[in-house]
This record gives sequence, structure tokens and C-alpha cells, in this order.
Amino acid sequence: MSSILIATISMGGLAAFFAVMLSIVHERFKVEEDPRVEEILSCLPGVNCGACGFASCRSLAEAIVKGEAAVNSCVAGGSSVAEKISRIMGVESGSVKKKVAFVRCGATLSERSKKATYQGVNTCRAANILMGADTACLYGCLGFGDCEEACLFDAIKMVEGLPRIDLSRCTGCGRCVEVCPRGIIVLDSFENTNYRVKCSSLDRGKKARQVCTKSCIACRRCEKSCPYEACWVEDNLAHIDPRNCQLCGICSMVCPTGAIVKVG
Amino acid sequence: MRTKTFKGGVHPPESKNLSKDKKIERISPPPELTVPLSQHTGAPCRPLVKKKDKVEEGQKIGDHDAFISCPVHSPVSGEIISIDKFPHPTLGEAEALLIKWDGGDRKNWDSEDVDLSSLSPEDIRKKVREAGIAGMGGAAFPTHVKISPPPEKKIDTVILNGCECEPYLTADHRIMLERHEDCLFGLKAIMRATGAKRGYIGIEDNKKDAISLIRYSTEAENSIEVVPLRTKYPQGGEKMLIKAILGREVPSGGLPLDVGVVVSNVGTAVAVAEAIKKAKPLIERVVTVTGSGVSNPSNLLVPIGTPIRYILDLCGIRENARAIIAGGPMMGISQYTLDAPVIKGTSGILVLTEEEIIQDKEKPCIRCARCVDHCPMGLLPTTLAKLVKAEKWEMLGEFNIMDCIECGCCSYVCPSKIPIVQLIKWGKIEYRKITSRG
Repeated sequence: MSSILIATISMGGLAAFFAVMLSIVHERFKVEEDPRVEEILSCLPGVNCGACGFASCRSLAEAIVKGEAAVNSCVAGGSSVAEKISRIMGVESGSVKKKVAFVRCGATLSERSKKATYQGVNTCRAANILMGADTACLYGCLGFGDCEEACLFDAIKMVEGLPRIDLSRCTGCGRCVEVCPRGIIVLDSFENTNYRVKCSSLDRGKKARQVCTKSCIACRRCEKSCPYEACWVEDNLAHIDPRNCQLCGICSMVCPTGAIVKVG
Repeated sequence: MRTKTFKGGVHPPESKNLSKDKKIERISPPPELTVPLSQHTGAPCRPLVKKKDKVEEGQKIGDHDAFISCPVHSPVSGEIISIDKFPHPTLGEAEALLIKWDGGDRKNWDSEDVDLSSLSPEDIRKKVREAGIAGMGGAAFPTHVKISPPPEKKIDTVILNGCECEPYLTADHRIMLERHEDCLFGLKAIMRATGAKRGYIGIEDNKKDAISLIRYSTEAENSIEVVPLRTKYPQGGEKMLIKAILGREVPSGGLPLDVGVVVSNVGTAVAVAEAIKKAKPLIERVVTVTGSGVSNPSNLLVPIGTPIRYILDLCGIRENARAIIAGGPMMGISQYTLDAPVIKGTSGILVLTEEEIIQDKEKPCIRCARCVDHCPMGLLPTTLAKLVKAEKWEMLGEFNIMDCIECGCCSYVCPSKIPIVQLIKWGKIEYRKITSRG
């Protein structure tokens, strides 16, 4: 009987002692944290994509509270997150221009020709070191899907060797832009116009035709037929000036290879 | 024979018998040559001629002011047809001059007797630069830069590299047998230019005829010694060569200059000799055309800019040929087009057949550490490959990825067929990117 009593008293005593100690320590060494950090953190997407320039969502939240970063810094979250954060911080959010990824190559596996058989590391960045592996075009998509793997929002799917971007999921964080060794992915806000040249080839028409059926061949038909002088060809590649474009779509219609497309 | 060597390395089948007894034959130029403006490590040249210009054989057609660069010369007399992007054996595609040979007689480069002691080191460097000589072992580093050490670095030794450790290739072997006098003259010229007192010629012991011939011809020389080396790949890597011959170790991230050594290929030494004796620029080089996919393996003296297609038409290509490699099987680069030309660093054209190409699938690493045992640089290839696969670029520096010489021993010995050296090459590029970003 007495042994049970001793055990109960000693354990109970220890418990009470530690409880008191812990409560003292808790009060004495309390870390003051702005409650807004937690609030902002709960608004942020929480994937730590790094597009804002900070290492993690928490470090962005801390920076916003300290006033070191703007309330609309979160690229991935867009205007809805900016609005929530501005409400927490009590300031005007300003507008966030939403940008999404756009792939400047439109040739699927069957549309681009192969120049060799490649056996090696199956990533675009490794293949690009070896003269672009089996893809004959020196500018276009290599199709191993480094961008798909880099995307944290599940917005990129490789379809027939070409990344297809889910515009509703893409947040414009830019991770795919960074990994693409050929630099064919760009961030685009699609302001004023959504006609785009879906090709990056700087090859002359004849060679571009040889390696790909979807390539811009610099025939200048878009340049000649555009009534608003929005299209021009430079370095064997067509360009569209969004400021002049009036969305008539003639360039897309006259393009013999279908390299000019309407996005969205 | 007592032979020296280094730790690590591999010994692949040598396969040199195909072409090692074939004398060097000078071929007539093809009707059209593509001469790339970038054949060396360093700044690519700017063209000095225009479209439709007439050029002479040996005329300088491209140059650049940068220190690490070297000029290119026209290999034939003829006309410039165009200056455009053309296939390139190492870069894929690069700016080049398309020259049409006029079919005229080839220039007779007369040899003069030159007394080396009458030339100052500066004269030799100038002649080497004007001749556009770049290292002919493969990396094509401009030779005049190599032999202009900064004043605080004292060079005491020059090593001529006659190892030719890549399997199949026999170009350097033939050069040593047929041009040994020019080899020695070139070595003495480089010694004079760098102020080195001793010269060594390192030759692998599978070339006994070359060892005894050069030994015989250097008997009277006190400052030059022939060193037989064990036949092992990559014995011809300059760091391995220095370790084997002198026992010195080039520090991590350093150059042979840091231990007072200049290493040069035997082919380069011959080019240096020709530049000094004949004022002949580097417009031709010896290329081994070999492999079981070639019907008539040979060693050819080929004008720079000759398309691989023309050379393979001369030597004959078998039906079951599958892969064409510029260089040797270990470090050479697979070609996707036969229009790529021979450049200053192309030591061989290797044609492999279907049966010789291993197409095994990559399997998981079993941690056998064979790559670690064979790495001549003492790195941990398996760890590096794993870090690259996980894209941990910033950690690559801790494992000294930049010391990798890309010899490929790790991929060669890997029982799981992991493309280790390919992964490391990719890792080096990404590591360079993050370190340059700061």
C-alpha cells in the first residue's frame, strides 16, 4: 500500500514541479511574434515556389509584416491573395498583373524531325549539352519534361512531347522558365492581345522547314498582311507587337505553317 | 621495361591493330570545305574575308584580338562561297566559312634549317600564334597561351604527350614513328619558349617501336628523356601524366603551370616545328579513321574543314555502321551529321557497328564503388551522380565536381550502366551557373 502511495506522491510532485517551471519559462522567455505573420501565412499558397524572391512563404510573410516586401509580392497567389493580405495589413493592395507561362514552340513529337538516336540522361538540360540529343531543331522543345517536373502547381502536362499549360492552374511563378535549357518558355500577361508566335527557331526558312513542320519560316506573310503593322520578322522569326495588335487574327489565318496561334 | 603510372583508370580493349601499321597518307582536298571560326577553346574568330573573296592556301581568314584565341587559315586555295552557320563536331552548329577549292596545285611548304638558339622565346610564341596552333590532343587550347606562362610561374619541365591512351586511335603513334625529328624539334622549341630545362616524352608501353625509335634519336640529348608508361586510360590526361612522370600533383582547381610543367601533344609539337621551320600554319592534321564499321581503316593527313562524309567515302563505310564519333570512344562526341568537318582538335573518326553499341537500361546504383576505385582524380562519382539527379547543385562544390576531367572511366566500369560522367557534365554546367550568380 505504502509503495503505491510513495510512487503517486513522488510522480505527482514531479508533475506539479515541472508544470510550474514550464509556465514560468513560458512567461519569461516568450518570443514576441506579430500575429499578422501567421494570418498572412494562412493566405499564401504555401508551396514555397520562390517566385517572390524569398526562400519560403513564411519568410515572405515576415518581410511583408516588417514592411520589406509589398503586399502584392506573391506572384503565385495573384490578386485574390494580395487583396486578403492588404486587408490584414490595412493598406491598398494595388493591382497584380497575372502572368502565365507560354511555350514558344508548337511542334509535337510527330511534327518535328529526329536527327539521331539518343541514349543518355533523360532530362532536357542534360540532352541540350549534347547538341540537343535527337531533336533536329536547335531552338525548339526537347520534350523530356523538365518543366513538368519543376512545376509545383501541377499546371504542366507533357502531351506528345510538348508541355501543355493549364492556364487556370499556372500561377506565373517562373520555375519552368528557369529550368528550360532552350529558353522557350516565357511569362506573358497577354495584355491587349492573345495572338502569339508559337516558335523560337532562328533558322532560315529552308532549314526550319526541313527540321519541323510547325516552324516559322520567315515568309513575311503576316508582316505583309497585317493591317495594323503589328507583325514583323526579325532574325528569321515573326514577332507581334501587342500595342498595335487589334485582334483581327489575319496573321494567324495567313501563316502557312500555323506558327501563329490564339492563346486562351 | 619499367613503367610508371597513376592510381585509378581503366584498361579497355585497345583495338589499335586496325590502323596502327597504316602509314600516314596525305589526301587531296574535297571540292568544298567548311572551316569553323571556332575550333579552339576561347573567343571565336571574326572572319577577315568576305563572300566571293579569293583566298590562298595558308592565308589567314579569321582572327580575334583576345589573348585566349587563335587564328584560322584557309587550308586550300579557292573562293569563299558563304559565311554562315554550319554543323560543327563539338558545338553542334557554329559560324563557319564555306570554301570552294579551285583544284589548283597545293602549296609546297619549303623547310628551312632554323637554329633555335637564334630565336627568342617571344619570336617562337609569335610564330606559334600566327600559325594558329591549338592543342591537337582534343581540347584545342591555344598553344601560344600555354607557352606564355605568367612571370611568377617558373616552368622547369615540358612533357610531350605521346600516350594516346584512347582506344582505337593511332594518329599520334604514326606521327611519332614517321615524324620523330619534328616531334623533337617541336619539344625543343616549346622548351626554349617556356625556359624549361628538362623535356620528357611520355609514351605508353603498347607502342614499343615508338619508344625505341625516339630513345635512339634522343641518345645524344642530355635534357630529353623518354618515359615508358603503363598502358592505361586516361594515361594521356595531363594531370595523370605529370603525376606518373614527375610525381607532382596539380592542386585542385589549378593548372600544370602551378607545378612548373607544360604538357603538349606530339601532334602539336610537329605543328610547332612546321610553323617555325616552314612558316606553315595549322591547315592539315593527322586523323585516324577506324572502327569495325570502316572497310579500310587508315591514318590520313586531312585538310582542316574536310567533311567527315568525304573522308568516310574514301575509306569506305560498312552497311552495319551505326555510330560515328569524332575523337576516341571514351571522350569523343557522337555525330548526328556527316557534314560536320574535321577541326584542329579532331584526332580520329570512329565508326562503330550495331553490335558494339551497348544499349543496356540504367539500373539502380548498387554502391559497389567501382567508379570510386577507378576515378583517376580521386573523386566520388557515385555521390556526384546522385546529387545531380537530386538537383542539389549547391552541394556539388563540396565534392569538388570541377576537378572532374570527364574521362568517363566511371561510366565505363559501372555495372548498373548509370551514365555517371554524363550526369557530372550536366552538374558542372549547373554548378557553374549558380556560382557565377554568386
